[in-house]
Amino acid sequence: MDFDTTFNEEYRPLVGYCHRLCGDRDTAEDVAQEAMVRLFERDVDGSPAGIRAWLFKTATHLIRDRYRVEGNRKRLLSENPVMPTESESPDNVLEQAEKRARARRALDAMPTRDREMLLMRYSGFSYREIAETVDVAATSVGTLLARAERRFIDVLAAAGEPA
Amino acid sequence: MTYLTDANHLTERVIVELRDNTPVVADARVHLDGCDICQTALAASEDRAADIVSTLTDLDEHFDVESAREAVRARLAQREPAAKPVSDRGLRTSFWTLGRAATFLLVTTGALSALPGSPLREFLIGREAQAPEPSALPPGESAAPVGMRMVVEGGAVDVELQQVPSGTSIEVRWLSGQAVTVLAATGSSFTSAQGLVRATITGGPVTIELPKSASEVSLAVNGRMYLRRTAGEETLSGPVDAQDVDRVLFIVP
Repeated sequence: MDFDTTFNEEYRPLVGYCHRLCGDRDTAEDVAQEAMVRLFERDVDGSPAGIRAWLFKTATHLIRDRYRVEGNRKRLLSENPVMPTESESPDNVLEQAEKRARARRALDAMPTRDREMLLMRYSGFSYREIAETVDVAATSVGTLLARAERRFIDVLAAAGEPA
Repeated sequence: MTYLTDANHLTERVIVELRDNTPVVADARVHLDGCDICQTALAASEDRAADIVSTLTDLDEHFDVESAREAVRARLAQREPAAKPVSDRGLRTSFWTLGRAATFLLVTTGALSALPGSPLREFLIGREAQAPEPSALPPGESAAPVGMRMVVEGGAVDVELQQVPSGTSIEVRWLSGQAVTVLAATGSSFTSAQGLVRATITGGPVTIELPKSASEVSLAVNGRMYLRRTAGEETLSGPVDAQDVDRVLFIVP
């Protein structure tokens, strides 16, 4: 497994997924880097798709461990609130920041498993790969995913963002 | 599970599975072809997915890949020495539940015994402990100096823990090699037979190392199945408190 090739292909989507999942930029970078380190440290072998699934699963578990105590998560959010950009920014930047804040709040309001499933699905993973990561039966993924999407959209709509 | 609702239309689950190109029963596709309502539902689901993609994309930020590449290289270089085996038996994974001592000796007690025909190979294990991860242990639990190690022959092993007190943490680690190791508080006792390790536990933390190479592994605690792995398929049915790729932490209720 070539370090640069794997890093070039996997790091950006991985850190993006981590950021969507945890909502904290520093944590996302730290977790994504830790997952990459473990990949090479343990010399994980497999197809590119298998390696990608391994990385995302590892990152999901690392984030889950970090936020295992809900208080930590709330503390982190209070220390790093998701706020719109200041008013001196152009209107479109402000609008974008508000949309981002609404999306973040909607994700944060979801149960952990629903959030993980939704974000893995929209990172391109199969139902089987999602099932392995969140520890549910593959046959349940469709039902749970439909529910997660509904929750996300409901919360988003309640926050004034028509998804 | 049926693919139709009481109103004789595809369920939301099947609609989502069709949208995501996941295999569904053939009858569901036949129904879809002849049902305008379900086709409309599928189109709505596709629109919803596109909207979710757009919303999630709003969250994305720019990350400096080159800085990250260097950071990963630095972390790998830092850990190189730690990846070397810490004992002459080649067990290289640290025991994050085993306290701060730089070195400690496992002492088996008089209660340790082996059943006839036991494949028990080693009773005493000397091991260096690496820096612990302090958040892993529930407060009040102490380091565990008693244990046994057994080479798994035939690729299958069952671990049974009995009389485990409530609140005890049980850490399971998957390692390379062919040995199973069980560690627990002083006063715990152990027996073994072909493919079986049985321990009576007086207190935690309990640490179990299991071989990744084993074809079948199970862990039962106080008569309840906590973990089973068959042909690489792992089923966790115990009270999982934390989980990593090669590590599971249970807390006995």
